[in-house]
Amino acid sequence: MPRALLISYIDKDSFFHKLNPVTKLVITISVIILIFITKSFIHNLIIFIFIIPFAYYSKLTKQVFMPIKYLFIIFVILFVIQGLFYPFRETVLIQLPYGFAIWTEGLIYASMISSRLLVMLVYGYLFVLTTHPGDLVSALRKLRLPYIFGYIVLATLQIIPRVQSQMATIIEAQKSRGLETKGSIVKRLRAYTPLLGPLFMGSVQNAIERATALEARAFSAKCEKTSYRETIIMKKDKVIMVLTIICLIIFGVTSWLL
Amino acid sequence: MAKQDWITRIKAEFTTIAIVMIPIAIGINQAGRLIHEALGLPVWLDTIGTIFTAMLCGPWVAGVGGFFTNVVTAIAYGRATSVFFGLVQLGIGFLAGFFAWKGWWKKWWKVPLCGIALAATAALISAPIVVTVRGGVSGQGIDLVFAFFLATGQNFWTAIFASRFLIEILDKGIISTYIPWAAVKRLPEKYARMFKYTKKVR
Amino acid sequence: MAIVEFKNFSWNYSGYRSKVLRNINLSINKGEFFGIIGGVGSGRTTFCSAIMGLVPHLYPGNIDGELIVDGLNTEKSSMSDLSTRVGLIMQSPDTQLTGAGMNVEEELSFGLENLGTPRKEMIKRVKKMIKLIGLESFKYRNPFELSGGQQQKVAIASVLIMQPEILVLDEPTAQLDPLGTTLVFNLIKKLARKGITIILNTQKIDYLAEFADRVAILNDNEIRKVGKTREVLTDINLLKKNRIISSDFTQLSNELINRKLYKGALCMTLNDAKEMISKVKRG
Repeated sequence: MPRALLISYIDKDSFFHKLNPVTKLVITISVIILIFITKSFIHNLIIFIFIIPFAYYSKLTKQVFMPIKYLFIIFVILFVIQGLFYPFRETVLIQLPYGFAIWTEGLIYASMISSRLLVMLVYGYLFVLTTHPGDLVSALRKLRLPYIFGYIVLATLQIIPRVQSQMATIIEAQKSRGLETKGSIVKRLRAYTPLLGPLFMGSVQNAIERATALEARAFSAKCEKTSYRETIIMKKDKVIMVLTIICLIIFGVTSWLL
Repeated sequence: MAKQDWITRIKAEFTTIAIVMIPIAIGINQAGRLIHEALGLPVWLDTIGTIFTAMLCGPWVAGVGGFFTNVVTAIAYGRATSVFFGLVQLGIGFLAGFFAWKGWWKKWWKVPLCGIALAATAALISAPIVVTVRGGVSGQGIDLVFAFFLATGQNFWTAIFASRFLIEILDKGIISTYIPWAAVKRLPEKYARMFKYTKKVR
Repeated sequence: MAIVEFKNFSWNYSGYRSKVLRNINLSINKGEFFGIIGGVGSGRTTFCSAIMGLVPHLYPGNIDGELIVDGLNTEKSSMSDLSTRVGLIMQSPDTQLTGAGMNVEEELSFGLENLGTPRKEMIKRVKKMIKLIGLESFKYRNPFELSGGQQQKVAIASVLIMQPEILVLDEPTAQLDPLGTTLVFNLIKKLARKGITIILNTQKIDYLAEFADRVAILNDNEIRKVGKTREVLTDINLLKKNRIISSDFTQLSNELINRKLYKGALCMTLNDAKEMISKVKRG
């Protein structure tokens, strides 16, 4: 059976896991704001290195770095394109044939962007590794997140794995029928796009049935809704949030001035 | 009072069926993406669910659905950058819904015109995001087009917008608009009547 | 005492000329187990949806006459008011799940959350429901990982938790395998003993024969017959006229009577058949 839920969450009994999702969200967003403030590649690297204690305190030291491999291609392309064609190029680093050159400013810009991507990726990943989406939604609902947004997120996480396995079966079936992924563009489109018809029809039927199920469970009730899943903001959460924001301001200002 | 009116009217768009349609639309977007991978063509197909919802439930629902396509990716895989690109989906959903509201999907020959407008919108919104967040690079075939424009001496912004528009038009010009449009046209009446906007599309 | 009362009730979906339900006059009593049978496309699902108020609140269309459910006129009351009085379960186990429950407990509490029930009360009722459906060891599992029969049990519990007076089941086992069907019917039997009013639309006549107090035949959008279960289900000609296949037991006893091998009444349940066989043997 395929996984029923699309999440990266890994259940561990750690300090970081036990923090309120909102606290972790504040940390993650602060880091993302910070890397858009910084002007130097080195500062970004320092922020990146700070992931190590965080990862250690979430007992996920190795996992946090797993998705870095997906960034590799982007880094290569980034350095090639910006190295060659950066619009504010001034200093030639290496002269290439046919009038091309690798420019210092381009490489600096590329390293800036790639370090930024790296930081966003690991901190974002740490967040989802340690936060169950159900807890996230429940915590955000306490902060008056509209109820339907939470519903959309959770229901989508449930639906996507089933769509994936359904599509995998269909695509396999088309391939085994000889509808190869090669051939002319028209041929390939002809092989796959008709599959979408039943997908649309089925989805509408599904939506109507599910809507009746939700209506039968008082979904459109106008009263204040309550939550079965409970997330509490504790004292340590408040302390950490305040500290995070102070750090953001201090690091932001110093990095901007330096 | 006028402001109150607006909010009530937007809220009225989010009927139970419309809300339920959103996760399903995101599922269709995902299915489109999987077909894109199987096809190996530069046709994204990852907005077909959003455009479909726009034709059924209008601009607001489709806009929210589009944006949450990317929010969910962020929550599932921790790809924070994906949230920024949610604005592209939001724009496409909203505009396609606006076209539905105006009744512009009714005539078959207007479909590609709407598609071109959607492609231009997608390019306009995604260009500044892809520059600030990823330095103009996507990690896909589009980067070659971008590099080509730069190499031929085009201005940076022209290059990024032109390359994006070119690739978006392949997707939204015909295929990604025609598929959901045809699906709405063929929807049996008993399903179609459950949605507010189908009357304006069929 | 009538808890569900159709008073000259008619319904047509907007955009359709003919009515899906025509001049329905019927009252179902409190605590009764009421069966609905009929042909395909006869309006049975619409009948069930009407009691829940989905007609007219979710589906657009026109009502003539009125339908009173536990004192509420369905046309004039809101869906959320009706949802604490009526629970509705439909065919597909998959779409009966809300999608928002990360585990069985949360799936069950969904309706209570919407009604704003305090958390303590929710925990109490969830615990009770999980015990009732016998899924203690699955309570932290994702509902989409359960089997069809288990999912349908969760769906039933997730509407029962709102403590409705009436449970409407619209072909709850149509998409289940035999094991799932047995699981669900065992639960329904348990509920019937607790005195909940049950309205069951099903093709599985054998189960109705065993549980139902009364049965109605709904065909071509009209009520054709309402009567005691035995009276309706052993009327072979009536069933045939309404394109309903009678139970194997009834057919068997009919065959034996025709061949002059047996001289008793027509059979309806397995027990009837056993009795008949012992008589035939002695004879």
